[in-house]
Amino acid sequence: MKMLLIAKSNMRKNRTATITLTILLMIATMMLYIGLGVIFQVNHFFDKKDQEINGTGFVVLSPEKQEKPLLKILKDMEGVSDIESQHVINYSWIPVKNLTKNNEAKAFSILMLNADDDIKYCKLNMTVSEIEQIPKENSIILPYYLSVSDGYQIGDRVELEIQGEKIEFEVYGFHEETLFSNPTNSGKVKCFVFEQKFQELYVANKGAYNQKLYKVKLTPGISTISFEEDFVKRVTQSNQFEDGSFAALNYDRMKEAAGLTLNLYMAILIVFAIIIVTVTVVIIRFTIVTHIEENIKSLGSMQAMGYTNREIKLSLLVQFLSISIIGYVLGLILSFIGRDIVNNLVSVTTGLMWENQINVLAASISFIVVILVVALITLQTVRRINKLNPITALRNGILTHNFQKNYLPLQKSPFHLNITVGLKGLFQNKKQNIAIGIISVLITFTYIFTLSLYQNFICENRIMISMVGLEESIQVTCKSENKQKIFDEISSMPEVAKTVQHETIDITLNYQNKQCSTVANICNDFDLLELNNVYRGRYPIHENEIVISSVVSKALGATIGDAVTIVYGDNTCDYLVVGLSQHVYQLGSSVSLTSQGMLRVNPEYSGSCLFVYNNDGIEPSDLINTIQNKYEEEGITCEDNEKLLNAMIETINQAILLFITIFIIVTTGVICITMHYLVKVRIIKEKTILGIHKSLGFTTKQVLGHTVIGFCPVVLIGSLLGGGLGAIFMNKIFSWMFSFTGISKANLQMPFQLFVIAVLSITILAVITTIISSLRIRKIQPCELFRA
Amino acid sequence: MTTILEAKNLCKTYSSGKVMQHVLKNLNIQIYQGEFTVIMGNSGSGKSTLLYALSGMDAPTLGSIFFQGTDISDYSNDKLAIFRRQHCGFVFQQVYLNETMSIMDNVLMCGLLKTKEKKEVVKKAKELLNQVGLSEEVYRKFPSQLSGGEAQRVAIVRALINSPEIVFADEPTGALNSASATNVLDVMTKVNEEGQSIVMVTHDIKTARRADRILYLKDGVIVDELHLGKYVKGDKERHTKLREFLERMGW
Repeated sequence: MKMLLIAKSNMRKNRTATITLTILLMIATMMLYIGLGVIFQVNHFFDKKDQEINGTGFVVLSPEKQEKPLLKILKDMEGVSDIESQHVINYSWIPVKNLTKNNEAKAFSILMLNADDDIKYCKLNMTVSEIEQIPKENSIILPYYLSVSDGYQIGDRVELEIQGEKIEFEVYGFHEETLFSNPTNSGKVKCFVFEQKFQELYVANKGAYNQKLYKVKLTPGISTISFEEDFVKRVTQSNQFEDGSFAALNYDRMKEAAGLTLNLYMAILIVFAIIIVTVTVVIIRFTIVTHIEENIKSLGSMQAMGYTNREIKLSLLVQFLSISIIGYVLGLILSFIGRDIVNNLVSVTTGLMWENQINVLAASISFIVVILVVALITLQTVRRINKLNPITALRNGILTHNFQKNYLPLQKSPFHLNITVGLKGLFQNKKQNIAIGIISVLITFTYIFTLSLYQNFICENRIMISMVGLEESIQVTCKSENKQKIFDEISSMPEVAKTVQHETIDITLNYQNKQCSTVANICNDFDLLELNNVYRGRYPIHENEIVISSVVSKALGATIGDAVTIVYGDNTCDYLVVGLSQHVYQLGSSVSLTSQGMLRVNPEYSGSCLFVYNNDGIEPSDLINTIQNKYEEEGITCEDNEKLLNAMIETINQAILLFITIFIIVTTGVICITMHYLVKVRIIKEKTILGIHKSLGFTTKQVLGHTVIGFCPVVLIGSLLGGGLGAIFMNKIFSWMFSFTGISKANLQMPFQLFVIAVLSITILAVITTIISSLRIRKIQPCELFRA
Repeated sequence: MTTILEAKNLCKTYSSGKVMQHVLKNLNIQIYQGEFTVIMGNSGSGKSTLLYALSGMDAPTLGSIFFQGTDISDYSNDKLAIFRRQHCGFVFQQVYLNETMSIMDNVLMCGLLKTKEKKEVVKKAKELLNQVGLSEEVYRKFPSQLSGGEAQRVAIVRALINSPEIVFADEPTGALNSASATNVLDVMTKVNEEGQSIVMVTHDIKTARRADRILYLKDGVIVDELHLGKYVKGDKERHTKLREFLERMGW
């Protein structure tokens, strides 16, 4: 009880420290809890959603004409307990516009399904369980993603442009779905219309987009990733399927994709929380040391009264643990209050309705981290009390020998008096300045990281585009016999700047008893591509060369110089790895080889895809229309990769912008709170000296100047160091963070101007806070300062 | 005798919530050029308050303070700071040297406030330190390395470095043993003999004996004053006169 009384008294006496530490621990707890809570819940969250819709784990999209061979393959595979098929219209990149909100149209690849179909698996799962209105003829059920990401609401009028025709719908509701929840991950979203409308659309497209969705229910325990790999292998071996004529999705991979991005965001939050905890540790240490120095007489009198050192140390431990518990509780409350922000972020990333639930494990770990760290640093710092004895303490800790150094003697100093006095203060307060220096390094380091995010993801997003790995071009697919002639004609069109033959084919890769299914990027000339995703080595030039992505490299254990085997149908062929590539698209898994290289393993290969790059001033959509109109009868399809890229980037950008905002607010808050606290402590500690200086004739401005000079060079040096470290290690940190997504070597840009902005911002902020915090000197009469 | 400092109807009141404490009540006082004036009184009579008010360190509640004819009672804090550096010197009971600076720096810090001629200030500092009996060895030491008397002598040098018109001393011997106190008083008497005006607050009769004039403060008002004339060592009558005066005052 008495410990608590002493702790309470200390907390009241040192209100600024108490408030500062409480705020910092509150912010750290909030970030830790949110980060850990999402990470711990995300798997269970996905599984629960999948159960709600009775998901199957594996789906295949394929034209109806391939149904027989497809079903045969599936039925022959182990682990298949049931197969259900459903008609679907597979629209590719159709503009969707919210007429009610009058937003700009955005393109989505849509799987249109019939809401009235009686199905067992992947059921329609509406987010609002009861909708009173009866569906209209033009009612549409949109994916929940559109509700959170673009603000669509029930009743909104929506326009879809299908085959040049604008069709209006009314939003009836939203649904959740695990495999097609977010277009960034799956490339497509599911929409539902009712029977009549579905039949109209089905007939209207004349079979151009009509396909079937095969939902394959697997027996429990079967790995859906292995199942898909096995399926792809069988399909490529069967020779009954046209290249690119099917698309397969498995639950585990989709869960991994959505989870990766989310986990990345949460990891950033957790790292930031750790930085704040580190700042807090520095301040706690400083506070305890200052407390002992300033209250040495009180401590001496306590010892004289009969308190043991253990009891005195315990009172300090109780004090700081109390602060950390209060900060922890407030942090949890803040997490609860801000749960809508988290819900929104997770919902946008996953496309599923997230409701943040109390996670005991996350709360426990946050508690342990916060309390344990505070306890450890307190116990370590209070050990110095063991050296005190009552008499020494009561005599203010008189030293018998003085090892002080007279920094910058006034007689020899080249500076003006006021600058010299200020700099003397800088050297005399070494311990405090070390604390400020460390905090400045950490904060500037975080600031540089935040500015890098802003520069490379928001301002100038070339780096992000190259990380995604998609060419900003139109992809033209033509399977007619005249395709080469058509491609040549397209290449010579005046609107076209250049073309590159490029397509993707599913293959299987073997290396030393390891196997993985992946996508092969086949190109006739990699030099013509806009993006160079190879971070080590080079693109293949010869027919026996291959580039593998870092994800494939890790899966197989192969690297540059190794020979890997492509399995395609009944053929196998060895290729020499000449480069390693990286990209986020397709979960980072791919290989690259030349067209000649593909012919080695598939002699019947003939490229049927072309990347078309439009000239400046030509809109991709106009060029697409021109090509489609000209070659309508050749069955040509065009996809605008730029739209897919923009859709992926936009989702990521929203999250990054949110993080940048949070980081800048928190960083600014931390530096202001910390500087205010440290300045206040110094003013209180040096109250007598300040009073003497004022009585001797220094004006308030001059005394303020001494205080500013005593702090700010340290902040500047700390900022420079933190900025330098941030600039040097920025790419390493990003590489580590994005390694989960397929990026092994980040190449983020940090222009020198941004570095200067970061350093100057922190320093100027610190100077302003110091000046404002020091203004309290103004109103005090000199005799009050040294009387108190 | 030329008046260098004059207070008219000086009042100082401290308030804490609804409680008002009138420390100085309509005080009128004159300080003369070259005089050693001592202010005495019982504890809580307002001696230090009067000293700080006269020196511009504490703003009066009412009344005026004239320094060489100029009213300084309405000066802003910064103007008062400039006034103090140009015209005043201070010696405190607790010495209040800057513990983190050397002895020479403590003196120079004050001297360089008034002038940028560093060489002249250094020369004067050395002369004054020598005059008060402190050798060159002491210049680089820190205050904590000196005895109480030595430190107070440094404080006196600091007070004199700018050749102030008037030196204010608040119980300068209060924290010293008798030998050190005598040393310090000898220094102060010596500088006064050279023409330096001193206003000192003390409750010590031995210190008060050095004064030319004693002002007795009671309940915020100067009730009486005693003129002793210039100090002569060994003057027993001076001590008797002072003691009788103080007994009359009820000290």
